[in-house]
Amino acid sequence: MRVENSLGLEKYKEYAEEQIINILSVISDVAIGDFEVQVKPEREDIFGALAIGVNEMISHLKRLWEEKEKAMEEVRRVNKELEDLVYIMSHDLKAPLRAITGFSSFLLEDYGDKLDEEGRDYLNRLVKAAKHMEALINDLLEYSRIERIKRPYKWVDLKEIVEKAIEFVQPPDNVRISYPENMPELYMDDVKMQQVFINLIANGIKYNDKEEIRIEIGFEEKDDEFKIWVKDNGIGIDEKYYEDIFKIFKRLHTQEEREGTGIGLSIVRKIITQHQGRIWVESQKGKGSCFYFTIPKRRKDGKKDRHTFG
Amino acid sequence: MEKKIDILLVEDDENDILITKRAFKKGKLTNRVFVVRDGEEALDFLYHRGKYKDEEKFPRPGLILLDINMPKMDGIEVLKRIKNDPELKKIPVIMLTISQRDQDIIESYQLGVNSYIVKPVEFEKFREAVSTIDLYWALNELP
Repeated sequence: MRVENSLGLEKYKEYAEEQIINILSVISDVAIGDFEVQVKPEREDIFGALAIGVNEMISHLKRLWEEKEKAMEEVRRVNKELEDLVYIMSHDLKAPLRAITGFSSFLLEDYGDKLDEEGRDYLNRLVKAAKHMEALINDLLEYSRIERIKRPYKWVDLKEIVEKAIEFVQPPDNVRISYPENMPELYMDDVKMQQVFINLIANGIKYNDKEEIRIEIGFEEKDDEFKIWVKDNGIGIDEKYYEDIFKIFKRLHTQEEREGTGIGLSIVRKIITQHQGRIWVESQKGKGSCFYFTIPKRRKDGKKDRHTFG
Repeated sequence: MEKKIDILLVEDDENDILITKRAFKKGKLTNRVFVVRDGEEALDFLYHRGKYKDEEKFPRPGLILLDINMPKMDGIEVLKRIKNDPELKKIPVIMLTISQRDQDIIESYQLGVNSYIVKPVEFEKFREAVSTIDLYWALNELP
């Protein structure tokens, strides 16, 4: 005999509604990542079958989730091991390097006048190369530090961060930097985000040959994220390097053309990725570049707007 | 005139000792600088033990420059001992570090370090570190 016949139609409607609500509530628990829940089947009817099906699905999801967590754990472990290695290597390299940079500089300063021009030229090259190597190692240490240092996120006015970054950069007189009167409050690591603006603004000035350098900072509010940009009127970047420029120590210029190690943008990308955003560049050679990045919107409790796992 | 302080440099790397001494020389600093080569020796010096028994010859320094990475007993351990001693903890300590990471590690112990210098020690960096601990009067720079 069918269940509805034994209960009567009104009772059956009530029963069905209750069953559906039970299943829905379990599903919504699963949707926010709770895999410990199960539906309790009451009768051997269609709802009972549905409950069993949902339970099987949850067990399967749970298994997948655990496998993913295990794999992530492994990734994190390897990552940490690599970072430790980078740290130890650069740390240990620094002592002998300090002696090389130190004593070659001292030689130049204290005894440079005892050498002829060729000798001084060689020594100058030695000092310069050693200093460059020192800068590379320092940057490597700094890069590995970004991952390691976890500060609590907080709500900060983006404008405040932009203003602090500009103050830090100390732009020369021929630089005009503009930014909106009102900017959103975002949930982030304010120190790291300041670093993002410092690096992008400094790059906009450094890779710029215009008499009047212009940097424009702006944002756009989207459904689930903010799109933020730092735009300059600098030398621009060839499209084929749009990806490469974010790689560590990747440079498009020689030391003679423009000094630097090529760490700035890789640090920027790392910070944006940590904030679960994306970063990319659009540029026109000779006219300027615009660096875009996104920061997902958050509820006031810091959770992402939408349901996401992880 | 106030008595100028003595400086204790705790550093194991011979090159770094030379670099630091040159920085002082370039800065025309005439304070006496004692050098010890590891953490245990530093404590011997501070507690007037062993070859540092003679308190007149090896007086308590007015400033300690302490390297973080050393054999036997590292800088953090020495720092702990100094900061746990009611008398010694009055002596300002400048930690000599290699990277910001060292500083993060030291900070995590919350021992109350007075200042930091990222090596190599240069006179300007030294001057800056000293100025943050209000000790500048005790340095003796020739004009």
